[in-house]
Amino acid sequence: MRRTIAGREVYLGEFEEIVLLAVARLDPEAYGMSVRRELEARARREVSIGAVYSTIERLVDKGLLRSIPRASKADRDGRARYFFAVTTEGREALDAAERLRARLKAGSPARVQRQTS
Amino acid sequence: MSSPRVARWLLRVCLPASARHAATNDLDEEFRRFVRPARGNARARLWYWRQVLASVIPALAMRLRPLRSVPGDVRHGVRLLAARPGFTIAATLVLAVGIGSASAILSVIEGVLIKPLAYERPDRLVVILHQGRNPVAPANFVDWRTQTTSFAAMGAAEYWTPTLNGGDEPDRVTALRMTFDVFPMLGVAPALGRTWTAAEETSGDAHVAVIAHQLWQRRFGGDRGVIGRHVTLDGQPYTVIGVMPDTFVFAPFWATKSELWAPLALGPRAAVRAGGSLRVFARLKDGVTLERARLDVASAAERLNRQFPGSNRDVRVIDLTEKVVGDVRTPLVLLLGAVGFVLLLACANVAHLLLAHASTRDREIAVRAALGATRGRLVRQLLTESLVLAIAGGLLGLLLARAGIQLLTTIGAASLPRSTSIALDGWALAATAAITIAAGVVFGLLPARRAARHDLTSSLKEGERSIGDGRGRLVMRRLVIASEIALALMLLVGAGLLGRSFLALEQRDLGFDPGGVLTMIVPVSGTAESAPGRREAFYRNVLERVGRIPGVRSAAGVNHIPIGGDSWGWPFRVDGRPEPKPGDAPVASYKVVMPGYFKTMGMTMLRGRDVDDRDRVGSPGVVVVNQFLANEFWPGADPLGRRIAFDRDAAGQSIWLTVIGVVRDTIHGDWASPAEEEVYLPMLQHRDYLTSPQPHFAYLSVVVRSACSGAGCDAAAIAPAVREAVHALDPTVPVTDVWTMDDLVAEAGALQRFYLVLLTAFAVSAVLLAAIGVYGVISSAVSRRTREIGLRLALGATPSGVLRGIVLGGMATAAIGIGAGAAGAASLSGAISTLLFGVGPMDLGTYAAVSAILAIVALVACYIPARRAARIDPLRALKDS
Repeated sequence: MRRTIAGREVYLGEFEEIVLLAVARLDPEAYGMSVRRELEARARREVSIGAVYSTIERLVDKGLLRSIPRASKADRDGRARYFFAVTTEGREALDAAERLRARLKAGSPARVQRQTS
Repeated sequence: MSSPRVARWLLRVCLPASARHAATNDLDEEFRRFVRPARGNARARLWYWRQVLASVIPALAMRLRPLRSVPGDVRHGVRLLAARPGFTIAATLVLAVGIGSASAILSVIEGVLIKPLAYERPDRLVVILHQGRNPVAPANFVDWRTQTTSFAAMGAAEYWTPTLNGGDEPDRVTALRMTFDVFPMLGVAPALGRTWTAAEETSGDAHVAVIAHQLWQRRFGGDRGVIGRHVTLDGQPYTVIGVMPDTFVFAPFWATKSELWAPLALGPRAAVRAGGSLRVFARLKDGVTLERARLDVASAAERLNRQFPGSNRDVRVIDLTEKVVGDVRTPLVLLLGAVGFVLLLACANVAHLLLAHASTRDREIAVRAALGATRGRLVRQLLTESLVLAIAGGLLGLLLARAGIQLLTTIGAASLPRSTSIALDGWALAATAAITIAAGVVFGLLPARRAARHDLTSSLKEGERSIGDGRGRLVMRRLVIASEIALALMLLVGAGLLGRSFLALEQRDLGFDPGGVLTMIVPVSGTAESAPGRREAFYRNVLERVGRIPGVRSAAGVNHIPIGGDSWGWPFRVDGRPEPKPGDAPVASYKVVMPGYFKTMGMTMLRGRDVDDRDRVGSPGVVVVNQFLANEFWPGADPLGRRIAFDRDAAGQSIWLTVIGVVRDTIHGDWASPAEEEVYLPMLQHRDYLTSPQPHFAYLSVVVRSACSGAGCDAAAIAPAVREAVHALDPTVPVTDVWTMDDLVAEAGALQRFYLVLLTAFAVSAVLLAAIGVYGVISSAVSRRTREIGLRLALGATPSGVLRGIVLGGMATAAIGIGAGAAGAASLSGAISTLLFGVGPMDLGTYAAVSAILAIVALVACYIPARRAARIDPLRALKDS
């Protein structure tokens, strides 16, 4: 799961991948809290808000996510929300990850295919 | 109910600013909207805490992420510096001088002032002095020990210079006789063997000795079997019972070269209350303050003074470390201030150089900003580059510091206390690293802040060149010039004043002519020549033989030579004046001379005659006095024929000595001290010096005037012949402490010279840095204002007018700097006044000369770039912009 960003190759970690997927699902309402809740609901793992923001910041640095300067103050007693969206490079990274998984699964014994499916 | 405040605060503290609001607000929202309604208050709060605690490590990782860019910034910084070798070399050298000097001085201060003395709990050790700074009489020591309650231990030490026999040549060693409790009081155990016990000391048969590591290596080859070996000291057998560790030094002042320690058995001397030969050391009891100990000793001294009037005057208890380094603390701190100025100048220069180059990087920085770099990121990048430069300067500075420390310890070894403790150790390295980083931040901050504030988008546009300088830049330029000149002036004034002091000291009339004079000590204690019947003949034979050596003009003897020798003060009475009260008697420097001493030393006899062969034991007692004593007691009258007395006979009558001559005053050990009373008694008339077996009476200081004189005359060349002449008479008699008087006089001024050399080096560096700084500021201003100047020239201004304008502008600012520097130097004048001799701290001549020098330096530094400006081709200047 490699990407080349500004000539340097970057690897997509497992948590980075699921955060990207969550943001893609929630778009255009993807912000810290919603991503965290989505991950807890879908991936069934307890995730801290710090871990979410740490990963989001890394993905923004890598150019796979972008922050959207839309500050919705609704429902927050006037406090702003900070939204994110997957960039084109982010979508390509997700696709590449999926293709890699498919390549690795193809031709492997049936029990591996069952375990990884 | 709101979210838990403490947990919220913890989260905010851990998160970086970029995510703080968003993450905290998100967590609060989820708490309020979902978790609390679903789980209730208590469980919701628990959930919040779990979230925060689980977020701590990811949040801290976010904080550290910016550091990932540091290696890249460092590589970029190194590339940039390599692309500008001229600038990089200049800046690195400038920084190396500043950082290296600071590091060297800090090492000196750490070794001399900060490192504790190498004894157990040295802050609890004190020294007790009589009459402010003098050694103590044995009876006082014995009584203080028994009559005070503040001390866990009190011991005494006496200077001793025995002749050590047993090797190829007899050797005179510097030693101390001490009471048994001194070693345990210091808390340093011997490396081999043991120290002596109280029983051994009081037995009266205390012929044991503990030796220093250096003596052990030198005389015994480091043989571990030295314990139990017998040696001969002053003709008496002693057994070596211990060897001290190689880092052990005692005493830390006064007898710092002691290599051997033996028991001090006072015996009947314990009742002697006059004179003073003991240094008293003590350890405070736990819980007792220095103040309380002072009061305790003061009340004991008062009781004893009532009982024995005049015996306990001005008794002082001083912290031992203070006694050792107190005199050099102020000068060293002053030097630290001076080196701080040099470092500031270096940082100012490099800051300005970086600022000047920062404007050439505006486009690069603007492009980075356009590609997404935040201002914080840009500041971090520029600061990293500055730190790379600082580290380069710091590493070179460390090399300079190492060389500097070796030089300083060599120059200062003779005069600076604890010079063996000075080293570039871990503490000094840490201090250097801190200075390097601080310097990098200080001079890197200005260009970094400029990048953060600068309107970078305008840098991307072509043709947008402003005409002239903004007001901010003008103020900055003036500030840099004025402050650099001011700092340099302050240092130069200090160096100038010290230089004039030194010259005054060098030109001071010594009272004798040291050129071509060799001195040495011939101790007879413990040898056959010491016998009462032989000693006088031995001395005469030695002087006669030495006088016949080719190249020798004359030879004579004295007990103590001036400057390098010991110095005894003896109270006396003057005939015709009332008997002075005990303790009030005048004290004279007590010299005992062989005939021909004054001529050999080049001392001028003002009236009367020298001592000669007529003045022997049994003939009327005579004395030669110095001018100061004569003027003090017989002002306006002829002192010849007057009488003074030191001793009394068995019936208690004064033994009067008639004044037969008056000589010029001579200098003493402390070069800068004023004249005092001196007396010269004939050795041939002095029973103690001719017969007493006591080591401090049983030696002769021989002075030899060689036939050569002037520059190139090396009196040391005749030393081997003199040694041979002595050994031809008796090979068991050592010849030690061989010095030329020129060397001793030079060593007397060694400390002043040390300070002068350092301060001058700093002042010269400061002036150079200031010159470079002023030149750099004016030069870059001219470069920036090329278009403006071209325009002025095109509109009719003359080149000479342009030149005059720039020079006058720079000089006006320099004048402000000179004024500020003079005011600064004046405000610090009190601090330097203790180091001066013959010149006051506000000496107008020095201030005027220094101001003139800096004005000329500033003029040259302004003129060169101004000339460049005057030669600008207006057409080219306008076309190129």
